[in-house]
Amino acid sequence: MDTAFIKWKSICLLFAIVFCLASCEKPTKGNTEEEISSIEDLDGKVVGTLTGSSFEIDFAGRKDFQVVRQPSLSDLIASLRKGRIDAILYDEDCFPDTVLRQNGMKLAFVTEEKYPCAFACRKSEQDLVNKFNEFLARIKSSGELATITEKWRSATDYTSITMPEISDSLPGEPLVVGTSYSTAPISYMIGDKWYGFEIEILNLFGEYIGRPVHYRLFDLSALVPALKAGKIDMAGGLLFKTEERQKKLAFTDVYFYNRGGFFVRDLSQKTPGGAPGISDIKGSVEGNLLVENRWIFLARGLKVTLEITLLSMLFGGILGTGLLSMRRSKRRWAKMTAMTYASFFRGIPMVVLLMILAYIVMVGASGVSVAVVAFTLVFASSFATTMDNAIQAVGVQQYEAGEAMGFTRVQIFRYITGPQALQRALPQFKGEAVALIKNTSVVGYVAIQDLTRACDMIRARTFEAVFPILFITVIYFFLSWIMGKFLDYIFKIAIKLYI
Amino acid sequence: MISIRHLCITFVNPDGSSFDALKDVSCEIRKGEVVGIIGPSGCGKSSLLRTINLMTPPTSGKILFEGENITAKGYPINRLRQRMGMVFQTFNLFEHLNVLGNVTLGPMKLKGVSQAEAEREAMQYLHQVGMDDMSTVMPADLSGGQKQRVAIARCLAMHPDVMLFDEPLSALDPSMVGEVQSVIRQLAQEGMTMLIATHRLKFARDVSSRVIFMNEGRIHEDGTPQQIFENPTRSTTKAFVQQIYKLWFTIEEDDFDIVGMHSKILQFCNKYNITDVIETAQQIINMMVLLVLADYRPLTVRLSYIEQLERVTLDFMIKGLSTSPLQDEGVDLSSLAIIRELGKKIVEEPTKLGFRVKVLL
Repeated sequence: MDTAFIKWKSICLLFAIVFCLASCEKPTKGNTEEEISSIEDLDGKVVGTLTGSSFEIDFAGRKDFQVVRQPSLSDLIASLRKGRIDAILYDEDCFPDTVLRQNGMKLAFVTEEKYPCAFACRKSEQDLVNKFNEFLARIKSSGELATITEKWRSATDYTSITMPEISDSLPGEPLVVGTSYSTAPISYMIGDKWYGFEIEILNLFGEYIGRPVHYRLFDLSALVPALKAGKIDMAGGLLFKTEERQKKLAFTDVYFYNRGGFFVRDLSQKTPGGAPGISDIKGSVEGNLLVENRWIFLARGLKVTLEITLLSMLFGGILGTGLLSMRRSKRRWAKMTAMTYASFFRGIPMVVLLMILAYIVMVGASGVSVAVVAFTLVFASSFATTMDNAIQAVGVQQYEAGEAMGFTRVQIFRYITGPQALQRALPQFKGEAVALIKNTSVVGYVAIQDLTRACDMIRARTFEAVFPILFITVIYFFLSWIMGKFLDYIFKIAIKLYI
Repeated sequence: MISIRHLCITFVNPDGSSFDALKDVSCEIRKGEVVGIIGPSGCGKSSLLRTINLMTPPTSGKILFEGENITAKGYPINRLRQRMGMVFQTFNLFEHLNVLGNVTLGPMKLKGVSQAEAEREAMQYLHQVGMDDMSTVMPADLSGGQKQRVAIARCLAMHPDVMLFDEPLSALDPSMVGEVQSVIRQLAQEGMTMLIATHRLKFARDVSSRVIFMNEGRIHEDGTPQQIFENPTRSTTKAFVQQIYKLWFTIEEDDFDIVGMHSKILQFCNKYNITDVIETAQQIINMMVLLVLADYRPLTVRLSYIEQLERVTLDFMIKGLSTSPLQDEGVDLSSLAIIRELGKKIVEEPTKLGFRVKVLL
């Protein structure tokens, strides 16, 4: 009772400290900083850009400033605010003014060069490309494209903007489009629905060819593999049509010319310092969870995370039991197979395994089933290893005693070595189950919207670096904690039934 | 009851070399016999026992149990093992069950006895081995002697026809040997058929109705304890049963390494399981060497142990002396009195080379 109370108190204290530290988020560089207004001012500075973006390639070779890569826009903004980088190189038109103001940023200057943006398809799908070009030529000549472009460029309130409704009951096969953007005004989600500049064009195109359009969100670096594996038919998100890319992919005609913008801290705008008040936290809760019912993302993500975890544990347990009996078998080949299996899956990073399954082995399958298969394979391996070690730790002596009494091999496992192995394996097994929960956070890589990816999506909308992360930290912590308690309970029952 | 015919066991090592644990062993075990199996380490005692319940399958040869060939292919080994109890050197209790659970597991799971009946019967057997008041204790909290007694009760609960004891006393502290020995002795008196592999010759002699001496995988001699221990016909048997273990020191000078000597004595006593005499032996040696016989150099000290008789003696020998050094005028009488108190007996006798003072411990 007492120790439980102390444990609770210390956990609460820990979270309180983390919250306070993280909430005191403010620019760390003072006003002595020089104003950046041209490319010369960037001399010796650090510029951040998105992993896999074309700007990265264009500017990577420069001597005067250093380019660093980060996986998401919200990370870039957080880095800029903390002073870890001095400028963000990003698409010129893609930061809403409100976001710039909120984060104390401004557009310093834009690149000379204009980059052509187009959609990409597989080389084998020239038909689709031709159809799109036909469609594009049509809306260009009718002035429709210019209207759409202007509408999104000048928009200020993205939550109430209207888009032409398209009917979902179009007769054709759905056209699956992957994008790396979940940022207004290019493409973003409110609840279940996708909005944005590209979305409007693509929806019109869908109507034109009579196919409903479905959208999926990928990391920029995972977009091309997904396209090649046939998970998506078209890739968008202000993709630059470069010569190098055209060797591998078929590009449509250009629908938009984009400049790179250098975004810097706005020194004229002072962000209030000091400790955060209750109203800040209230604002964060409202902005990240309640507006547009964003909590639904998290709830769905949580469901996906739980689904993957529990199904993998179940199937992994079953497969692991099979592997275990192979490891304990007297047949050499069975033993060798099980051992090879274990060492193979021990040596392969989770993300790599997921990508192999998603893009090579199980191309047609849904994201969740890919993840369940991947985690089942890995969990089975660790389950078999843990149990095998635990049985070995029971020792050969008790096995012999059982044998000498006339128990069969199965009976010895059932009554003598099994229960003890379970008791011994419990702590390690708990660790593995918790590791499983935590490892599922990488499934975002193959476009599964789990809890972590849901958090990324909220961050991409609100550009708030800290609150969503802390929020899911708490959720993950409680998931792990509940999992531990749950396993304790299951093992207790199992051992009771067993003996 | 058990006929063992031309039994051979060959172990093949992973490197291809092989070792013959049993070489053409044949013998008959009759009902009610208590057979002590003795012999040096690695002679095949344990292999013979473990082959009888087929824990180690024989390479060739046959075993008949009440007329049935148990080495035949497809013989229900597990049914056989239920009729043969085995007690191990290392007790091998089931660590997750308490004393009572250890005893009831077999009858309940193998014979389908109800829990109440199994527990009632288990308590009888625990009472027989003097463990009925500890039925709820876990094995980890028992002493070695207590564990072995529980292991014996666990065997008895299966109502075995034969009990096989594989070095039942070897892992026990000297102070706990007695309790286990008396349980086994009691079983022997009740007429249980038993095979006991042991390196404790005195125990084998006392408890057995028949003794088998094994050496290098063969039965060298088979007979009553009197025959084997008093009139062994073969020289190997004689050398083994009358084996004397000795430890020598020669003290030339007064700056002799006495600490080194004591540590060697300690090792010797631990090796032969005679730890109870360590302190007495060291005390007597100290007084003899440093006080009583301080003037006699070189002095030879010998510690010897006759296993069969469980007799430990200390000899102090001085070359070229014809009269007892204890009869000298200047002898330290008070020390001598303490030595007489500590030892069982002191013998003074002349030898071919000089004079010897023998102290029996």
